[in-house]
Order: sequence, then structure tokens, then C-alpha cells
Amino acid sequence: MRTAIEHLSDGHSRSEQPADSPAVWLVIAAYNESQRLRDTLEMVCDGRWNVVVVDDGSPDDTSDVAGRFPVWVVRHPINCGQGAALKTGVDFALGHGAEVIVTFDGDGQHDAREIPQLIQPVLEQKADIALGSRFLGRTVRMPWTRWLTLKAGIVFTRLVSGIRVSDVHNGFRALSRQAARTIEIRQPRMAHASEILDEIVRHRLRYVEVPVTITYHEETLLKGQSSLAALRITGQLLLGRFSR
Amino acid sequence: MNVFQWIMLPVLVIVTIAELTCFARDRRRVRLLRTAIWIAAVVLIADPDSATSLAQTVGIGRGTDFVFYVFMLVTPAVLFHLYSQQFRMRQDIVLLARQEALRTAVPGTGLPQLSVELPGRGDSFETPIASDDSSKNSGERRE
Repeated sequence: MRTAIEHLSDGHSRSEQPADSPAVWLVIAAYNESQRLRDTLEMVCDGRWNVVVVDDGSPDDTSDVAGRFPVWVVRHPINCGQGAALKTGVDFALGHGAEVIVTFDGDGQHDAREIPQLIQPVLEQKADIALGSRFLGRTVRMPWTRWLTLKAGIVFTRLVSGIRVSDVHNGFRALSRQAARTIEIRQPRMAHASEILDEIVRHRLRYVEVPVTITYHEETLLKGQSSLAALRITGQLLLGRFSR
Repeated sequence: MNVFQWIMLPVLVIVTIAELTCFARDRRRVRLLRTAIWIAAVVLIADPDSATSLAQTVGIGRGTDFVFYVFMLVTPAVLFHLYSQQFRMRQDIVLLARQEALRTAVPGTGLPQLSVELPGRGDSFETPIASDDSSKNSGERRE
């Protein structure tokens, strides 16, 4: 008898999947990502996954681009932040009966071919949440400043949250339905990634780290957070804790 | 009286009177609290020795040190309170935006209509079928 992961790994379309195949949903948060989102959706829309794109109030045509693909498009009327966008996508996926939810960046940093290995521990119920780790896997064109910032983030997280992980701000992760319902994302902006780790500790969720590849593109680096933004994220996280 | 007292005391007296006048009109209790703060400021400026007396009562030598310590304690408390309020307000706005987004979800090309149930709320709603009209509507919203 074939396992669900085997079905998902070998390119069956959703219509070809057996009825008991787990509903895997990809949640893609996007802000001003029309060009890179097109490439990302071309990569993920191969029929194996349900996809919801959350347009976080982009002024560009991100929603229109997403609407040309077989995905659900959810649009924030205002820019709320990546954390809020992911929460919206997760709620949408849960409302559609998602059993496994994968958070995936819309800017082409993640590799869709790694989704099966990421969701495997969750499907096999060995973990409630699988965290992608670029430091267990590999990175392409990562600037040294980013490397340094992320390493500092690992130390900070270890001290503040008490969780030992090799990567702290990786948006490529898979959550079981139960974990997705349990984890409460309160931080609307970038500090949500650290908050998810806090929630794992708080609710004693089982987690594993899975090696993944992160590819840095020139335009992504220009648009993305500067390494100095780490200070802002740290501030948001600490102030968020004070205001609980 | 020194120059500072000549400048500040009339200003504070006017502010106190204005506050009390407003209280007579709208009966908001917060105005009484503000009035008490203005009166305390008037007393401390008019009679600097009163601050010194207070300081010595609690074991601090100088009145200015006493005022400084009070501000050292009050300022962070007020800042955290304001941040907390702002954080909650932001969360309310985000919640509204998220609910609106979920309510108006549209399927892209080739997806069927589905019924959406928001987790933990038990209310379900129909999401519209992808059509020319729905894409027009989403376009209008952006404008």
C-alpha cells in the first residue's frame, strides 16, 4: 500500500489523488511580488498542492497575477504585514479542511521540489511542525551580512525563547492542522517568525528541522529586509511580549 | 519669584481653569485627574521647598531629584501603556482587514466555488465563483 507522501512526491494531480490523500495547502504571502510571484506560482501550481495566495494590500498587480493561476486569492484591503498575511492564509486553508499547511515565500527564495521532504515528518505524524533550515541545507548567493544577522538571531532566540534551532527566520515550514490551530500569531509584521518559535515552546509542540535550499536573488535582496531590520524585529518581539 | 515662575505659573493657572471649565461642561472624570496634576505642578513651581520636603520624607535629599525619580518611573509606564494601546488598536485593524479579505476571497483560473468556514468561529460563507464580474469587483476595490 502506498503512503500519502508517495502520492504527493510523484506528481499526481489533485484529481488523480485518492480521496484519502491528505489536503496539503500552500500559503503564499505576497506584497508587491507580481513578477517573482508569477515564477513562484509556475513552480508550485503542478496540481499536487492547494494554494492560497494572500496579497497583503499590494499596490501593484500581485492579485491579478495570482488570479491567472489555479489558486485562491485573498487580498488584504491594507498592508498588514507578513505575519498577518500568513495568519489569513492559514485560516483560509483551515477553513478549507487543510491537514498540512506549508508556508512558502512568494519571492522565489524557496524550492517547491523540497515540499515533499518538508511535509513528510508532519504527514507521518513524527512532528507537529517541520521547520526548514538553510543551515542544515544550503544557500545560494547569501550575503555574509545576512549570514551574520541570522547567526546572531539564532543565539538571541536560544537565549530568549529557549529553543535550539539552526535557523530562526526561515519562512519555509510545514504545520499539521492541529499545530496551525494551536499557534497564535499575534505579531503582524516580521517578528511572527520568532513568535512561532515561542509558540512551539509554549505549547510543547513537536518539531523537526528539515534541510532546505534558500536562493537569494538580487531583486529580493534589494526589496527584502536589510540586516539592520533585525534590530527592529527584535524590538517588535520584545515590546510584543511586554504588551501581552 | 524668578522668571521661570513668572512665565509658568500664569500658564498653569489658565490651563487649570480651562480644565475645570471643561469638566463643568462634560463631567469627564479624567479632567479632574488632569486638574490635580496641573495643581501639583503649580504648587511645586510656586513653592520649590515643598518638593524638597516631600523628597526628605521619602529619604531623597533634593526636591529636583524627587521630581526626576517620579518622572523616571512614570515615563516608561506611560510609554508601555501607549505602546500596548497602539498594539491592540493595530491588531483590531488587522483583524478587520483579515476578515474582509477572507470574506472576499476569489478563486483563480480553474478553481471551483467552495464554502469557507473560519476556524473557531463556526460561521461559514460562500466565496464567489471566478468570473469576469468578480475580477472586475476586485479591481474596483483596489481603486
